[in-house]
Parts: sequence; C-alpha cells; structure tokens
Amino acid sequence: MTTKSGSRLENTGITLDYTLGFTDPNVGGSPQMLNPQQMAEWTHRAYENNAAANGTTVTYTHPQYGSNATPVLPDYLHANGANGVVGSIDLAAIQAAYDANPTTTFLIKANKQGTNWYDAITSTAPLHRLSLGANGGNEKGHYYIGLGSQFQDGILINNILRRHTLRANSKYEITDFLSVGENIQATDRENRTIGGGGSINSADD
Amino acid sequence: MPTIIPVYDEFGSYASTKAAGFNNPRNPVRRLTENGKDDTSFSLSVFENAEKYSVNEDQSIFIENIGGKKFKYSALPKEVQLAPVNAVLIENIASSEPHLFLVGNDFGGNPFEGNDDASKGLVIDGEKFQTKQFSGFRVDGVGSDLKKIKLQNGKKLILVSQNKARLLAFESY
Repeated sequence: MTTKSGSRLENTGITLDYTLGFTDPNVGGSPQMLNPQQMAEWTHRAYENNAAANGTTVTYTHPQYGSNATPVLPDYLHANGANGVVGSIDLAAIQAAYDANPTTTFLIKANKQGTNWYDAITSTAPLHRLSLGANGGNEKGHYYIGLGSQFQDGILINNILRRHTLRANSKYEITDFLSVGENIQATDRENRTIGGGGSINSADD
Repeated sequence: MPTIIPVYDEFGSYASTKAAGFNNPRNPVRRLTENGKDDTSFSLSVFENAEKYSVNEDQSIFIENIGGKKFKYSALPKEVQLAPVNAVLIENIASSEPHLFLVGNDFGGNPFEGNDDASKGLVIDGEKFQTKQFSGFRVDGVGSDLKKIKLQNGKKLILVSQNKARLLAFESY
C-alpha cells in the first residue's frame, strides 16, 4: 500500500470521490424453511417414529398441534397461559389481564401463512464512501491532506460500520541535506455486529 | 425458528419464548434490533426513563442512599485505603451497634509492583466511623470473603476465607 503524498512537481489540486453501492441479501434467494403445516406434520411423524422404536402406542403430546394423528394448527400459540388454542378467545379478558400485568401477559397469534424469518432479519444494505483530498507543493516542499468517510450497513438489520479517516503529510526542505515533515493518520471506527455490543476504536500513529 | 411463530405478539412486543413446544426459541429480530442497547433482558423497557449514575474512584468509599435521588458519599478511614478491600461484612456481632469487618490484600500484582499486603483485617465502628484498635480481628493473607455463622449453642462466629491459606474463625467475647 502506498501512502498518498504531495509532489513537488504538482500544482495545487483537490480531488473528491464518492461511491454508492448496495448489497442485496436476496440475490441467491432466501433459504427454504418448513411452512407451519409441514412443521406440524414432521413433529407428529417424530412421535410416531418414537413410539415405533420403543414399541409403544403413539400419543401426540405436542402442546400446539392437538392429540389426533392429523395435526391441527392452532389459532393462538399462547393466550395468557394457555398454549395451542384453537378457535376464539376472550379477547376482552386477556386485554384486561394485560393492562393489569403487562410484563406477564402474552397473546401470540399463530402465523399460519408462515413467517419469512430471513426477510424479517435482512434488508438491502447501502454503502456510501466519500473521500476528499488536497495536495500542493513547490520546489521546496509539498503537502497532502485527505479526509475519508465510509458508511456501510450489513444485510442483517442493525449491523453497521462507520469509519472516518484523516491523513495528512508534508515535507519541507530547509537545505540540501535537511528536511522536516510529518505523516499523520487518524481513524475513528464504529462497528456493530451480531454477538457484540459494538465498539468504538481509534488509532493514531 | 419455526415459521408458525409471528415476529410480534398481539400487544406489539416480540413474540417467541412464551409459546410452548418450540424449545424456547429466541426471536432473531429482537436479538438484532436490541443488539448494542442496554438492559435488553426486560420485556418492557423499564429502564427507559431511569437515570444512570456511575462512580470512578480510587478510594474505598461508602455511599449512603439518603432519599430523594441523593447519595451521601464518604471515604472509608485512611487505614482502609492502605490495601485493596475484597469483602465487607456488616454485623452487630460484638455490640448493639453495627460494625464493618473488612478483609483484603492482593498478592497477584506484577513483579515490579509487589504484593498489596498492608491489610491485617479491619473493624470499623459503624457509629463513629473509626477504625477500632485492639479488636483482635486479624487476617494477614489475602482475605477473599467473610460470613457470619451461628452455632447451635448460640455463639456467633465470623468465618474468613483466605486465598492459599487457612480458613479463619473469629468469636466475639
């Protein structure tokens, strides 16, 4: 990697670059998952296989799909303590219970169409990259200063990368054998990924 | 994550763990959305309007909740500051007033720093807030914890555990 720097031969110049990009999570198609009906059937198949392996009579004891051989999709997965509720519920009573105890009252309606979890946790992610540079010089010295910013989202929701960089250098020849100058680079970076709480780091050298 | 589970429940919070029979699933949307936030283990954001305080302090201190969102701050006596404090027991074992029993030290420092071994065990009078001399409570090593136990004959003992040293028992008289 080469470090940009001003040149003695160049005149003063300013550059501005901007990049816009997108990452699409659905290019390869989303992964196929069992729909609710298939999941219920395979759950009951497991009870049948288990009974056959143990030589016992099959009993369907899953809390959601009923006790018959043909699984029944519930209307509510959970309604204030009851699981696998088929049919209507006393909505007013549960609402009252929720108003009294919002932290312990739950009402979860079954999504019989099936939730597309891949869609729920992904989104098309934009990328913005911006850099601004200025350089100049004469026969005695030169300088370069550059600012860069990158905003990149991940395809998973709430996954982000933000980075800002500054680079500056200059050199000035006092005599034929002595010159002074500096080379500075600073970075501010925030990266929030799954599993981590996100962090902010900076480095100077 | 089974597809029959919706993203949200009927009251607008994230659906998942309450529905029985799905091996206690964790809602991935919740996990990602709450990622990087504080206090995510509560189903309602009970800490949303809470005021958060933190203390950066090199001394061993005592903070008293005096009500009205106010705290009284006092440094413990200077004898306490000579060594790290690992455990505190507040007990009125020897008299009617509560006393603070402190043990500490740290022998795990870097070689050039040496051991923090100035603590010999301390008893602080809870009323006068002064270190008691001649208390008889002496812990030379790295005191890691202390607990009060009551014997069958009614005697109270303070047990002090030390790192890589014997367990000590103190009896009031």
